[in-house]
Amino acid sequence: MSGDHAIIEIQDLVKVYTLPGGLEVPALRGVTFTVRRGEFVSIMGQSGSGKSTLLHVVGCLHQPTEGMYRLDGVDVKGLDDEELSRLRNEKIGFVFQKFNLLTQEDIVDNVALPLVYARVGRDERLKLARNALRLVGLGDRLQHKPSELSGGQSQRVAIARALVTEPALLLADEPTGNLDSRTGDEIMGVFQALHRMGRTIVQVTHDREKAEYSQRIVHLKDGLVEREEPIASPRTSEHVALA
Amino acid sequence: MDWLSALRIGLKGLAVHKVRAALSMLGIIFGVASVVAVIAVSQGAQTEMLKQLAALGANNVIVKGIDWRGKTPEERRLKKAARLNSDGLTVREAEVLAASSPLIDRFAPLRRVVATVRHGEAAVQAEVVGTTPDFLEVMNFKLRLGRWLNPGDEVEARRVCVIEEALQFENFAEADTPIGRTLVIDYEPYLVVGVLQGKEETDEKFDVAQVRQLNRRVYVPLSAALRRTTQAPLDDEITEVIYHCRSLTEVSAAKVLIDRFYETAHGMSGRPHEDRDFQVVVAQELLKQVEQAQQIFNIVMLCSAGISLVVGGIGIMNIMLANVSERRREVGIRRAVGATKADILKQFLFESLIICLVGGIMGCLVGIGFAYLVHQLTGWQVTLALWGMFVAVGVSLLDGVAFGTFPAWKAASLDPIEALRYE
Ligand SMILES: Nc1ncnc2c1ncn2[C@@H]1O[C@H](COP(=O)(O)OP(=O)(O)O)[C@@H](O)[C@H]1O
Ligand SMILES: [Mg+2]
Repeated sequence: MSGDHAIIEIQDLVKVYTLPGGLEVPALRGVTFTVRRGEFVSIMGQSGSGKSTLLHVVGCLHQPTEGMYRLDGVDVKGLDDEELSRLRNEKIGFVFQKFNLLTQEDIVDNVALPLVYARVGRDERLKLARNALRLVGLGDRLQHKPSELSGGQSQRVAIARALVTEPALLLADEPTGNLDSRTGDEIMGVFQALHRMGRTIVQVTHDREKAEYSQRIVHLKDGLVEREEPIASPRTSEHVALA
Repeated sequence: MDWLSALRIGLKGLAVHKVRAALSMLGIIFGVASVVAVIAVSQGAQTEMLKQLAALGANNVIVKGIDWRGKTPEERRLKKAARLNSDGLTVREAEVLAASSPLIDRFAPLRRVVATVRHGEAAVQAEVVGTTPDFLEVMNFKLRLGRWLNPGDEVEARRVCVIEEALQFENFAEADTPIGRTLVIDYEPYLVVGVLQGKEETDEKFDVAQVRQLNRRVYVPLSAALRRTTQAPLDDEITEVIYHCRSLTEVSAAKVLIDRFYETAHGMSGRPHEDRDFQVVVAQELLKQVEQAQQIFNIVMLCSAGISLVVGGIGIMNIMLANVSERRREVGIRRAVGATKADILKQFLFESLIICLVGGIMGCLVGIGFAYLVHQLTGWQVTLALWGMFVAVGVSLLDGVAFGTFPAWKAASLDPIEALRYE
């Protein structure tokens, strides 16, 4: 079985949004691509080309309309909402452009959030959350609120949250989109370090420079894969700050 | 998600929006408070009314001997034949009945005759009632002066009497107390040992309800009455027995029981009612009043509970809907990291339940305050009922579920991505 080492297997994937008026918007029109365990892949394309839609389907936030999607050996098609939720919880860590932290919660509780839904006990949750924060270089700011952090720090918290369940796949939608260039490089440094530790990472970006930190770029155009471009020698961040 | 986490999240959600939580709680607080206060006031009124009714004799079932003496000797003969198996009313059978039925807690046999009562030169026609010491409690009468008849009087058939306040002789007024004076009843001297308090005007309207019109009676020990007052040869031993029921609500049942007992004891089973030599009477009017009043109380309580349920519930729904739409992004975040629809539903339902529980408890306290205030302002008796508070808090929790489910469901069915897009 090819799923032995493939985390994402997608074939002829179609995603059609139906607007309230009944109008159908085809966002993905037959995408085929594969990500193997331990890969660091970037998805690029113009605005509206379907990058986010693809990431949402890959992240089990939306069901594909047609086509095949297998995540870490599990066929996602036909799963109900509860099963999708469990997949998100167990196999996927999401990093968003806008960080998406719970503003009223401490950082450590933010990071521990996925574990609440994994039914992990509170003590264990906090322990794992602290470890994850240490991994992204924030071991000393546990009791702060998200509003007390800089953008770069916020995104590190979001990364720690995405890592805390030890998911098979880390997904990031424009993770540097809200950061200045230098901080963006830092985050890329974090991703590279995680990649070196064996993590599988897929990021969406429209910034060529950021995409070059990864091993491979998948170019999307009008809901189709235009081409795949391997990066012979990925960039390395000058600001690696990983514990 | 486990329940403890759901509870923690709920509490935290409320802590972040304290003012809003407090506002939505207000509806519940006042709703529950009004229920608690209304129950307290109506319970108080009910207790008060039951007490008054008991004082008026609503607890009593009265068995009267029917005067079977006909006008003509022929009539008399026929009637006597009709009751061959019966000795008429006796003390003994009353004792047997009272001892065998738990519905009856005490009774008083009465022998009533009209006699001439003299005090020195003065004389009046008065009703002389021979009865036992329990009579005072059975009738809820109060003493004004001296003492009531005691068991010793009864055992020794002493010639003592207790008179009603209204019994006056023109030569009484000189002295300040009738106690220690001697009345002559049927040529026998009786020592006055006590005076009964007169009944108030309000009793008049209950005349129909078999509350005896009281005026100028003289009470003597039953034993003395049996021995000394003249008795027609075919008279019953006693003229009347008053049975006092343990509870007002059991009076109807007691009436049936007593009816059966006398029917059997007097050999009247299967015979027409006209043949009976006894009659069982209860204060029907009073009982009807009790039932009606109870119904009114229940309706008032139901209405107030219903109104506050709806008002409080609408408040909850309002606030929770605002809450949900404001926290769509939070819902999106939770869903993205693996919360199921059920988890989100649980979270928001918990919040409304916490509002309702806390509001309910605070409402109980405020309601107690209301009840106290009512008591202070109006002097009405209020009775704080624990069950009332449980009902009120239970109803408010029900409210939380009934009106919190829709907003929680709305939150749960948000699309995660749509929810995340919300600023
Ligand atoms: N929820 C939605 N409903 C309808 N159309 C959508 C929705 N999300 C995205 N689209 C449409 O799908 C296409 C792809 O969008 P998206 O995946 O966000 O592209 P990208 O992330 O590359 O900018 C666009 O035309 C967009 O308008
Ligand atoms: Mg996008």
